[in-house]
Amino acid sequence: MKAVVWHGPHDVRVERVKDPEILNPRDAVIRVTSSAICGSDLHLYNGFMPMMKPGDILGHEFMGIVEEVGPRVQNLRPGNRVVVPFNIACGNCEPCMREFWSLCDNSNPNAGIAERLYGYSCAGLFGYSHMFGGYAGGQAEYVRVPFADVGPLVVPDGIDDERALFLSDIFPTGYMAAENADIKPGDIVAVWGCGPVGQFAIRSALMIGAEQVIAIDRVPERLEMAAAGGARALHFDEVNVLDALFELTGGRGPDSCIDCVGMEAHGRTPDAVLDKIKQSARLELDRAHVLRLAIQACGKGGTVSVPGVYGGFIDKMPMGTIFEKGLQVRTGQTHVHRYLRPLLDRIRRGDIDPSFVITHRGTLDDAPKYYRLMAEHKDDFIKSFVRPSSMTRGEVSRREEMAAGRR
Amino acid sequence: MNQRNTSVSLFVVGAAAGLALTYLGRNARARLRRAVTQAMTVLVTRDRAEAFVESRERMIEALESKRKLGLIERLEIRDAPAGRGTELYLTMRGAGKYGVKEVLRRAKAMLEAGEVPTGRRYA
Repeated sequence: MKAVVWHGPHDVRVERVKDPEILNPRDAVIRVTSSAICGSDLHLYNGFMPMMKPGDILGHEFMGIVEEVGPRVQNLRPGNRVVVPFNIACGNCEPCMREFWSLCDNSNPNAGIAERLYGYSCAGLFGYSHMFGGYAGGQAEYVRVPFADVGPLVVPDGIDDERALFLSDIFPTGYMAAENADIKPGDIVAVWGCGPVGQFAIRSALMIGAEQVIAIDRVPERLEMAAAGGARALHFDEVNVLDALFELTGGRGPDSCIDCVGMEAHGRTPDAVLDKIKQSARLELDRAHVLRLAIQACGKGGTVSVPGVYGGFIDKMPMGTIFEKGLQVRTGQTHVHRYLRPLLDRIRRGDIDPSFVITHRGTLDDAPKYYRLMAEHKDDFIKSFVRPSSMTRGEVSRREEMAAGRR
Repeated sequence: MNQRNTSVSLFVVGAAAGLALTYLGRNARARLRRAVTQAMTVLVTRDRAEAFVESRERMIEALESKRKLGLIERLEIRDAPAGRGTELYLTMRGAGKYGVKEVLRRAKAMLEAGEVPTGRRYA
């Protein structure tokens, strides 16, 4: 099969690799019909995530048709069209029982490695380094899905791939970020980073009941998309963000701040420059400029929600600010399984059409180009929608209908 | 004179490095020989946990080899508080802290999920 393969920083290639197989009784093999490149894939592309190996298959946002299931998968059968959460969960351990799906105890075969760094391991992740299990990703024609009786959600025929695909990660991630922000009616929410997760966080915050959302970025097309979604846009190179937020909130500061940027924050302040130098010299793993700003900007007793990915240690963490303002900080990998059905219902009801975020449509062969465009913020790139082959949308729909007819 | 000084310095540095490596090696071997206890909670009843540890085949599967059975010094089962499952305390000699943890992790996955996860793509 064809797959997008990591060979090193800024080196991803489309290659022929061996097809996946059922290895465990709860596995399924899925023929991928669409996938996407996530902002967090860029941390792998840029070489900031440890424990990648040349030959690793990328991609954790994907959906497709079930080809084969293991003997213990009773709820799926070949021909089912499913969307697959990016994290892998067994459904039987205590974290899974408590709906902390991204903290599953049993899905990371390399949990020992993550434990040495973090104390405890989170769940296994598709296509996201050997620290999280070394699972092959979904930017491929086929993918092996472990614990397939728990993760994949069957998508109704009326909802096409473009609307369903982002249930695998960015829509639930944006939604959980807004939920973690503890938004109450009348609240003002500031969102840093208007990439795909930021876009969904903005729309989710408004769906949950925020009075106003202030979106902060410096990429014009992202700010335009944020404004189209109902946010007030701030270009961080044109204004002093802290002063602007102070003014826009009558001096109170935002009630909630959401950091959708994570470990590769940009900025021109001394702390941002120092972060960049230290990260380049491998003296620090994460550039936390945005997190510091969010903590500084957040109003008294407010909440800082962090869906942006951080991988390790950060310097100059303003713990005193968190303490003196009585802030809550909430974060974590998204518990995608928890949000699949409620958010599918929202799509079905027409509350949101997640395909608004797609700016580039192509095939697996385009993936290396898309990685480059995304990393360099070129060609107005926000989000890709990748088909495994050059089938048109109509052809794919007909194939999907035929598959549905066989069911 | 200079050459002699250099030789003496190299000898001293080499000897110090050798001693340090011998010391570290011995220490590491001693650490590995020491008995280590690790604990893990499994979300199953005590009966199921007891049946698991009494099954030689299942324990060998958790240990990944028959040879390691001999390394087990003690395996204690306790009830976790507030109905949170069963606690396994495993003491092994010669496996190291992470080795013991790995055995417990495999046992936990077998007990809870019914299989041991793998990141491989094909057999």
